[in-house]
This record gives sequence, C-alpha cells and structure tokens, in this order.
Amino acid sequence: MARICGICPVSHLIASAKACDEILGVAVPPVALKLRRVMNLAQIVQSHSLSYFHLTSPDLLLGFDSDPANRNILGVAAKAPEMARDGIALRRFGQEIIEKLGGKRVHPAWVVPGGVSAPLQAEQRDAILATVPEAHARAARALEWYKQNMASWEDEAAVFANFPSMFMGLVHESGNAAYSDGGLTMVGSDGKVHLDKVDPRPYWEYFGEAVEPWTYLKFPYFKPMGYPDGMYRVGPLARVNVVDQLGTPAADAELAEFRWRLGRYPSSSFHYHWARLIEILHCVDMVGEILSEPDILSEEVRARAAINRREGVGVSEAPRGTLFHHYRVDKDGVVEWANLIIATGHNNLAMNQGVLQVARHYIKGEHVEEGMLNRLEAVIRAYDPCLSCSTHAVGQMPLQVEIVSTEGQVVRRIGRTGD
Amino acid sequence: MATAKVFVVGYGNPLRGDDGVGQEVAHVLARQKYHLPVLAGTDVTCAHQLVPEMALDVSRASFAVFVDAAGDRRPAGTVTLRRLAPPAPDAGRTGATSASCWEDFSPEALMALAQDLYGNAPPAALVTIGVQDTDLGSALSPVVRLAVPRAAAAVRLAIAAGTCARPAHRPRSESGRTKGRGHNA
Repeated sequence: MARICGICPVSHLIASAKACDEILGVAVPPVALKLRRVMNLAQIVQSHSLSYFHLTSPDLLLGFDSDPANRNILGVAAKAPEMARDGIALRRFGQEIIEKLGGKRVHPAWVVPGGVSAPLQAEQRDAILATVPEAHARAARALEWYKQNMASWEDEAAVFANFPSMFMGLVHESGNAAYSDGGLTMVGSDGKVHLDKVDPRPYWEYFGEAVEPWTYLKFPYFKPMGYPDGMYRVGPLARVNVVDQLGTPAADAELAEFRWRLGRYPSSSFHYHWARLIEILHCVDMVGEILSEPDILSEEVRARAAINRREGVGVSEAPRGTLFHHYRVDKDGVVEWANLIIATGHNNLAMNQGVLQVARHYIKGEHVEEGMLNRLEAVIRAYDPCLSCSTHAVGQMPLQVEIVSTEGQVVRRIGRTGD
Repeated sequence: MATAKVFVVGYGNPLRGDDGVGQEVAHVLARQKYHLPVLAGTDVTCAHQLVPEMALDVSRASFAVFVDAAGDRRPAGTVTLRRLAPPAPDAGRTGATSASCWEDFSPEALMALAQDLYGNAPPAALVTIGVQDTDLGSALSPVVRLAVPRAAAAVRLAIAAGTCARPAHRPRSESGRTKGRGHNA
C-alpha cells in the first residue's frame, strides 16, 4: 500500500493500517500509536522540506520572473547555500527517521495492521533524538528568513487563491494538531464550525464527489452546502486554521505571530508556505517529545486478530491534507472493494479557482510573459499537490492558457508541450 | 579527520523492468562488500532517483560511482563505464548542469551541488547498462540480468582505478573552512 506514492508512502501506510485495524477489530497498543505518529511526523518534515526548499524557495529567493534555467535548487544553492543546506538537512532528518524505523526511506513496510512490526530500540531512539536540536534550529532559521522577506511577495499573496472557503483537518480533543488520529473538523473563513472533531470514518455523510467532463480528477465538496459552494481546503494552511494550537511551544509562538499578522483564518493559499514551515518546526519538536516518553521502548507494539469485520475506514493527515482509505474485504481478508480520497483531491475546487484568479490578475490582453505562466504554476505549487514537481519543471510543465474574448472566441492560445 | 569512503549509488525504478538495473547492481555490490577488499568501507546506496540530499554523502566521499540504466538505444546488456568530468566552478550558477526538473537530477547536477554547498566534488564515474524493456514489471529482462555481474565488475574496476594512490580527502565544514587546520567547524 505504501507504493501508491513515492513522496508520502507513510501516510498511505497509516491510513491503510487504520482501516485494517477496524477490520481486525483490535485496540492498537498505545506505544504503537506513538511510533506510528513519529513516522508520520518524520514524513511530514521531509515532504514539507522538499516542497518548500526545493520547489518553492527558487521562486521566493530568486523571484517569480527570474530566468527559469536558474530558478531551481542549484540556483538556490548558488545564491543562498545555507538555505539549501538547511533544506537538505531537514529532508534527511525526516528520511533517516523513516529509514531507522521502517528499514528504508521510500516505501517502508513497518506500519502494519494492529500496530508496528517491531519495537523501537534504545540506540535508534538516541540516534534520532540527537538530531532534533539541529533540525529545530534549521527550521527556525527558515521561518525567520521567510518572515523577514514577506514584503517581497505581497502582490502574489494577495491573489494566490485568496478567497473565503472552509478548511478541514484532524484535531485532537485537546484542540491540538493531530496528524495520525483525532476528530474531523471543518471551519469556515468566518470562524463558523461546520464539523467539530467528529468521527471521520463515515466520510460519505460529509462529502460528495462531483465529476466534470473535462478532467479525470473528482471534485469533493461538503455535502450540506452542495456543489460547488461546498468548497474546502486541506493541508498545512487548513490545519493551522482549524486547530486551537499546535501543541509545542516554539511552533505555537510562530502560530501566534502568523495569526497576528494574517488574521485568525487567512484565506490566501500563498500562506500555505508559511504554514508549512511552522508545521516543520512543530513536527520536529513533536518527534523529540514523543521519543522522550518513558514507555517508548515498550515491546508491546502489535495486536493480532483474525477478520472480525468486513469493512474498515482509516483516516490520517498526509503532508498535503486529510487522507481516507476505505476497504471492504471477504471472509479471508482479501480486499473486494476500495475507495481512497486523496488529499490533493480535496483541494481540487480551490486549486481551479486559484488558477483562474491568478490568470485574471496577471494576464492582461494577449501579451503573456514567462513569469505570468510561472505564477500559474506557483499557485498550484502552494498546495503542494502530489507531486509538486509536476508543476515545477521550471518552464517545462505542459501548460495551456487560452485567452477568450467577451464573445467567446479564442483570441490567443499560449502553451508549452513539456518537451 | 580525513575520510576515504567511496560512495556508490545504484538508482532507477525497480517496478519498471530494466529501469531497476541500477538498484540490482547496487544490491549485488552490497552483498559483495563484506568479502571483497576493493569494496571495503564502501557506502552502497539504492535509490529510485538521485536527489539533492545525496550531495552531502557525495561531498564526504573520496570517490563516487553512479549506476543507472542507459537512457539511449545502445544494445541491451551493454555495460559502459566513463569518468565524470569534475563540475565547472560555476556550473550551478549558470545552470549549465541541468537540474530543472525533479526527474532530471543527473550525476553532474549532484556533483555540482556537492561542490557548491559542501566544497567538495570527488572524482566520479558513471556505469550504465543498456536496457530492453522498461514497461511495468519487477523483473529484469534476461539479457540485462546477465549484464548485472559485468556492471558490478565495472564498478569495482572504477573504484580500484579511482582510489589508488590518491591523497585522503579533507571535507570542508559548512562554514566553508576546511577541517583539520585549526579552524572551528
């Protein structure tokens, strides 16, 4: 199940394992839940680091209108080597935790139905804890740079999918962020609570999925508000909006400044980048907290059972948002039917509206420069859809923009084939 | 303290048939390193693709070998070994080494990143194997599978040639200063 994705395999493992936990009818040992959480947090760190440092920072550091040939990780390394080193180190931090726990960095298999396949060893714990302070420092440094330079992209922040919407994520009963468990929460830009830490498993009661003839990607929407008014967003911006606090001191201080500067429920998807950095800091510190707990080396990490239910739903926060796995199995546990709602799918309505908003703002008449096309990519990049590289081939992403007259005639078509 | 580690990475997609040959060669080398002196101390890594995070490992090595499926139409099973030119001093700044797309991160781009960020790009070699079938599938085609031992031998040859009679490498710290000369790291 991890092989669904190369960037967030851990999220799929956890959601899948949780669906299977329900099918087995087991109570997962508490330490196993903690260990699953550690692996999920590590994955969020490495995934967010990839998105921010490798795929977003070229725009922020070098400029949205800079030469595409240089607007990449090598360009960042040349202009701001410390930033590039921080990104590499933070990604390694997350990857090495995943490798220590699961045996390999990509597609690990350690998370299993009922818990995890092996307990944590003391030397693994100590090795990971030793890397936390440096990772914290690097994340904090990235946040400081971002805040100091925010004026540079005020224009983009104002029009990158800047519209009211609902926001959704998992929240712990304490009001803290919850990435591997918690209740489903949906909050509007006006602060209205539409779902308050509800059981996420009967997701079909909350969401419908619309289909449009011009795309294979479905459009999930919040059922009580219908389609397309039931648009909502998931992922880092949504998560920081729906929680009361994240739950670690440094990240909560950053979150307080975030809200002080942008408002309680900021609407522009540009702010996904800032939220992403805050989550990196939070997840690094949470790894340290969890691994410092006295029972973390317990050997009781897996509950075993036979098939006790024919259906199960598992929900987890992937780096890009809330992920649902829903299975139906036969008496032998063979999956007969499955439905997955992938995080990026939740954002589909918002991404499309964002592209339209950016295009309307930057494209005036028939003259279109490369920087304008880059901004169309960049608004998608803010959501970090799986994978961001599909929108950051630095001038190589297949892209077609049609400029249509008020009479409906296509007056110009601008595009790249991706060659 | 000087390092003398050799970094070997075999990369490619093992779920796309022969595209996974690089990883298969790396698996062979990982098993051989425990009984072949030429591979003693070698850091052998398998990966789906080259990524910027490897720049640190490359910079710490005295020699690097990259193993991959060939991207051209050479006969399947052909094993080719070539030395990689050291990165130009401004390769990263000029974009002369392409890293414009995530899937396009080449050995040359990785070497340039290692040079720019950590001050060292060691001598390096690239071993490529001609492929036959890269459709979905987890097995190598027979002709490519037969080439795996020759590719592993090419890696060992590159290491033997590339690491003999060379001064030990002194990695540069993140501050840009070379360690071991009385500067703070």
